[in-house]
Amino acid sequence: MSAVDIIEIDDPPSRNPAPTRRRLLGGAGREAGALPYLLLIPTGLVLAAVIGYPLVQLVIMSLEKDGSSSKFTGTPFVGFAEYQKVLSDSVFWSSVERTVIFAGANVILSLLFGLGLALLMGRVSKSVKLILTVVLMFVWSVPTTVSTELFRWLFDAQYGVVDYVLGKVGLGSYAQHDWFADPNQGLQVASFIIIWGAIPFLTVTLSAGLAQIPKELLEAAKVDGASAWQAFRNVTYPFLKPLLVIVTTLSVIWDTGVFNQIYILRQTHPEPGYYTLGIYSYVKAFATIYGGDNYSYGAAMAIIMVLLMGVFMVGYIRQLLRIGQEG
Amino acid sequence: MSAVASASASAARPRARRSSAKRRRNTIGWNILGLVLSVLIAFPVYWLLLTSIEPTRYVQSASPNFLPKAFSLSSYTEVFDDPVFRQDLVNSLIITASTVLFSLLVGFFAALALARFRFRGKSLAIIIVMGVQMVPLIALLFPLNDVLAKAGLGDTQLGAIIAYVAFTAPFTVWTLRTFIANVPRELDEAALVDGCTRFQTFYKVILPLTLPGLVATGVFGWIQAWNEFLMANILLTDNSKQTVQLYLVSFGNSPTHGADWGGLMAASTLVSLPVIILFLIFQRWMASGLTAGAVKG
Repeated sequence: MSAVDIIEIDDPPSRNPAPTRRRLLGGAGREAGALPYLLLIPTGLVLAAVIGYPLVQLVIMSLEKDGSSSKFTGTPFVGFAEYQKVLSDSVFWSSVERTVIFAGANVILSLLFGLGLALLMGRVSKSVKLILTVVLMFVWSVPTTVSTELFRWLFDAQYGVVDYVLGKVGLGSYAQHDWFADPNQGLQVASFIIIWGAIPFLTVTLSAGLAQIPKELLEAAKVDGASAWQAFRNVTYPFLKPLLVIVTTLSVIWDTGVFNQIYILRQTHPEPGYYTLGIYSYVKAFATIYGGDNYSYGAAMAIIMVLLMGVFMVGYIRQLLRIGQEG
Repeated sequence: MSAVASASASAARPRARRSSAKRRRNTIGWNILGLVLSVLIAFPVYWLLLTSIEPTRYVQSASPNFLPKAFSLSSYTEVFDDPVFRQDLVNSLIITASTVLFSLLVGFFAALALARFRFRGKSLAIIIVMGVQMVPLIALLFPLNDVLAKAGLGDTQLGAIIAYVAFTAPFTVWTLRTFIANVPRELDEAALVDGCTRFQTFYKVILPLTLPGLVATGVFGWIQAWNEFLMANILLTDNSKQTVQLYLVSFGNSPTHGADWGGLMAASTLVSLPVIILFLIFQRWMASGLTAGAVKG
C-alpha cells in the first residue's frame, strides 16, 4: 500500500497522461478488444456449469409434474401446478413467517451488537482493543458446524453449563431445562449461534469503516456542542452508510439462508416447528424419511426463494456496479 | 479586556482538566465494558477447549468445573485413533487446497478484466459474478447434484472442488479486483511503453504488487472451503470421500457417541485448528484485505 502512495507522490504528472502518450499506446490503456472477454472465460465456464445450467434445470423441474423417483426423465410438463401447490401449502407460509421473523431478529440484533462493539473499539485503550480483536478472530475462525455442536453442548439439558449457571443464580426452573422441546426456544439458541458467529465480521468491518472518518469532523462537532448522539447521527452515520448498506444486505442474505445452525442443532432431523424456508425446502427435496424426494415441489419453492432474495439484492448490486464502473 | 480574557482562561483551564479527568474515567468504564464483553464472547471457545481436555468423569458432572481440575488427552487420542477421521482430514486438505489454488487462478483473470478494462457487457459480467451470492445454495443443490452426476463427477472430490470454486468466485473476484484497481495504471502503461506485452505486464507488474491481496483472498477462500458443510453433505455421500465437517456432524449424531461431549469437543477443536492457525498468522493481512474489499471499493 505504501509503495502505491510513494509512486503517486513522486510522479504527479502521470495522473493526467498527455494525449500523445495515450495515442502512443494505441488506446490499449482501456479498450483491448477481445482480451477482457478471454480473461473472463474460465470464471464464466465454472459459473455456467455449477450455477447457470443447474438454475435452468431448476426452472424446468419446477414446471414438471412431481416425478418422485423418476426425477428428470419422462415427467410431463405441468406448468405452474407445483407453484400453486407451494402457494396453497400452509406449512410453506408458516415457514415464510418463521423465516422473516427469525432472520429479521438476527439481522437487527447482530448489526446492533456489531456496531456497538465497533464503536466501543474506538473508545477503549490499546491493550483492551487488542484483547477484543484476538477474541473476535478466534470466534470468527470457528466453523458453523463446530459452533453449533458447541452451543448444543452449552445448552445441553443434562450437563450443560447454561442450565447450571441459570440454576445457580436462582432461576431454579432452568436447572435441567430442555431448550429444544419448544421450537421457539430452540430457535433462540440458534439465534445465539448466528449472532455470536456474525459479530466478528460485522465488528471488524464496521470499525475499519469508523477508522476512516476524519477525526477533525468529530472534534468540530464536539466543539460546536453536539451531544454524542447528534455527533453519531450527523457525522458518523452518513460516513458509515454505504458500508452499512453492504453489511446489512450480506446479513440479510446469510440470515435468510441459514441452514447449518438449525439442521445440526436438531441433529439433522429438524421438527416442523423448526422449519425455515431453507430447512423446509431441503426436507421436501432430500429427506426421504419425511416422505420427501419431491424435487419439483422443492424446485418451485427454491425459485420463490430466489425471487424473494432478489428484492433485497437490487440495492446491493447497484452499489457494486457503481464501484465497478469507476475502475 | 485582558482581565476578562485571563479570567475566562483560568475558568477554562480547570474545566479542561476536569473534562480530561472525566474522559479518563470514561475510558476506564469503556475498558471494563470491553473486558467483560471479551470474556462473554470468548467463553464458548474456552468451554470448547476445557471440555476437550478434561477426563470424562469431570465432563459428565452435575456441577461443572470452571477451571481445569485434571488434564487428559484421551478425547483427542480417541478421535485420532479413528481411521475415518484421518481419512476425512486428508480429504478436507485435498479439497480445500485445490479449491484455493484453482479459484485464485481463475479469479485473478476475471478480476483483471474487471479492474483494468472497459468493455461492452461489463455491468452484466459484474451482475452475473456477484449475483451468485444471491442464489440460495439449498435451491441449487438438487439440480447441481444431478448435473455433476451426469458429467461423471457425482460423489467425487473433483466435483466438490468445482462446486466450491464457483461459490467462492464472487468473493475472490471482487476482492482481487479491488487489489488490482489499487495498483496505479501508470505502472502498466510504463511497462507497455518499455516493450512488455500485455501478459508480461500482468505477471511482471500486477501480480507481484497484488501478492498480499492474493494471500488474503486465498486465506478467506481456504476458510470458506474448509468450513463448508451443506454442499459436502449432499455431494459427497461415500464414506471414504467425506470431509471433516461431515465427520464432526455424524460424530455428534451417532448413538455410540451419545453423551461423549469430550470426544465431540476434541473433534471440534481439531476441525477448527487449521482455520484458527491461519487466522492468527494472517490477521493483519486479512483486516487490510477486508477493508480493501468493503470500504474503499
